[in-house]
Amino acid sequence: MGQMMGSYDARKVDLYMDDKPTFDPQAGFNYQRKPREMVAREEDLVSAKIPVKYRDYCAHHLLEYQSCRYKNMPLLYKCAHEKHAYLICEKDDYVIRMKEFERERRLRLREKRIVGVA
Amino acid sequence: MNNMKYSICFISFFFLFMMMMVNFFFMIYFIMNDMVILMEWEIMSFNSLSIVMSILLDWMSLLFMMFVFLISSVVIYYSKSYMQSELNLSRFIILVLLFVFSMMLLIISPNIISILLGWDGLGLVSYCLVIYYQNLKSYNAGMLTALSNRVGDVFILIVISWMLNYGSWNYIFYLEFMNNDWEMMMIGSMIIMAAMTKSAQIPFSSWLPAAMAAPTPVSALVHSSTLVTAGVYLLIRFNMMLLDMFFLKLLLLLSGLTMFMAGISANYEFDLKKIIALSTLSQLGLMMSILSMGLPDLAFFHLLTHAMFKALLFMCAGIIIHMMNDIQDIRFMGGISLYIPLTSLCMNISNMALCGIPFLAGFYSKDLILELVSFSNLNLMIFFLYYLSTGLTMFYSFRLMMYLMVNDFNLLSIFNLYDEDYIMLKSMFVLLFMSIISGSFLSWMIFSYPYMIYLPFNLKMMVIYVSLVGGMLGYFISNMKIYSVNKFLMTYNLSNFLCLMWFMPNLSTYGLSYYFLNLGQSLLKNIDMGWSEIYSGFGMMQVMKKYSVFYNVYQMNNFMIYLFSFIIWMFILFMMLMFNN
Repeated sequence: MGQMMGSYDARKVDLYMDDKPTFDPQAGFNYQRKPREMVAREEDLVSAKIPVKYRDYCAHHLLEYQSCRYKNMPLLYKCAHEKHAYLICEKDDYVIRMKEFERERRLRLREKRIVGVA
Repeated sequence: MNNMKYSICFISFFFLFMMMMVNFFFMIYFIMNDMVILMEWEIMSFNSLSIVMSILLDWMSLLFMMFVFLISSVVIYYSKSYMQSELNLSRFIILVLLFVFSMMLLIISPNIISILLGWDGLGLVSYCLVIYYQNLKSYNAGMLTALSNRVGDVFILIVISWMLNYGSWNYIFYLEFMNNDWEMMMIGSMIIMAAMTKSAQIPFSSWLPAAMAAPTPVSALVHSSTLVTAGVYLLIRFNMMLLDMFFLKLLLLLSGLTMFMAGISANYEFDLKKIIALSTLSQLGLMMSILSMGLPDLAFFHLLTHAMFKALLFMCAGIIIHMMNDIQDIRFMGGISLYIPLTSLCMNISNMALCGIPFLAGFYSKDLILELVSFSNLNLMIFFLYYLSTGLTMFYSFRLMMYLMVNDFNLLSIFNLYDEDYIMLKSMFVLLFMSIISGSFLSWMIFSYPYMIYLPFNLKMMVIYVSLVGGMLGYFISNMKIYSVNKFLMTYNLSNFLCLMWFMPNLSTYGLSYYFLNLGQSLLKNIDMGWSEIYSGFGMMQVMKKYSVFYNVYQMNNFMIYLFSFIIWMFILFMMLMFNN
């Protein structure tokens, strides 16, 4: 529902939630944008048996949380800090993706407007 | 109570409790090491035929077993006092143990045949437990329960025959690799249908409130926390396969409607146990719907926390029913918190856990579910179904609480107002403790990969808004004297529709018996007593009778006919002689 509300207006420019960015990532920026870095190493993720769908840009926090869980089981409240760090990272990642979605929407609107004028 | 120490109840309690402890330690070990054990025990091997019993142990099965052992142990402990006037207590306890055994078979099976054994065992034992009091009402309820569950058994049997194509019944091997297969789609659809019967989703809902004819400890164990969740558990196991199916979207709608329907019906109900049963139905709808959104771990989480506080709620209801001289109607109750404070404490806490009051067990699971519903990509109707049902949960819980605890003393007779049965109370305190801590404990334990939720403020607060509105309405409705309100009868048809679970019982009991009996009657009159009678028995008799009367005329007058024919012959002879000359 939350995502639905956020993305409802984007349908006017034929943009849906799972669409990938189509414009140049640098367009409209006067400084150099840096792509996100994958901090966690693949072999660490494999050895920690992290499922593929969780191997995202916050996986290094997830690895810390998993190792903390292993050490403190069953008193898992001791890992509150690690869990919080992971969730904050995931939230920042989500915000980046939403901003990118909004940028895509606005760029498409702009393109539509320019094409309409021409 | 002196013989408690060596009674079958205590021995069973002790055994089950120890099993629970063992399961707890294994569960921790399995989660820690992310372990799964699949055992195959060959029972018989004969030429190329081998009969193998497979057992799957992972954190999910161990955790579920732990909860089943815990609830069954305290229910058996509770039964010692609740069923003390029962002459055949051993039979009762053995039935409960058989139920637990069937449940275990279902939980640890990666094989559809052994699932059927557990599944059928659950149906059979639950029938025996529903008809335990052996009166007309419980016989009818038992038959309804058994036959509704039988539909699910038949679906599982069909699944078994479909799975012959694969050469093995270990479904777990096919879940990921065969999920685009058309046959697997059929199997998945039938598994969903089977789960819908066991978990009493629309259109198979009517058996769950009817099954409240069982003794209250049975309701606490069977019809709230374990049997009805068997369907949910089966779908959790099969979830990997079902995700892309259209049927799962249909299940989302049906389960959403189930929770909404049950929430409304609970507000119209006055039977204490039926209100709790309808609330169970509502929570089952919640589990099924979150499951059909592809979040099985959340469904499992809610299944476990719900099992705790719902079993406790039923146990409290049992004490109240005992105390009220076997009256279940909440209109006769009121102000009981003054007389049974400890039971009222348990009742209130379990009710609040059901509503999702922070930081009780239900809060952790329900709030997470609702936030993920808000977070996910769903249509508005499903969204409204979820939130209206949450408000309705608060609505009927508050209404029940007001009727029982706060409203005026309205007892039929003052009968045994006591709160001193420490056997029952002790077992309830175990569940009370779990109803408080299990939500937090499980949310840490089972979510190795936590969910991130990021919502606008008002959407985040939506649960609190609907809960406040629901609670307020519950308060108002409990004070409303509906029979004194003029023009109440104007809503008679609507009320009838809503309080009769959207006419669901008509579909399964009245519909199945009345229309078929009517058809039978018309067939009897038109075919058996009509056409087939005319063309066989009665018609033949009529024809025979007619001809025999006809022949009888000759038979009875044969001498006269003989003489008459003699005279005619003589006349002809005479004429011939005369004309020959």
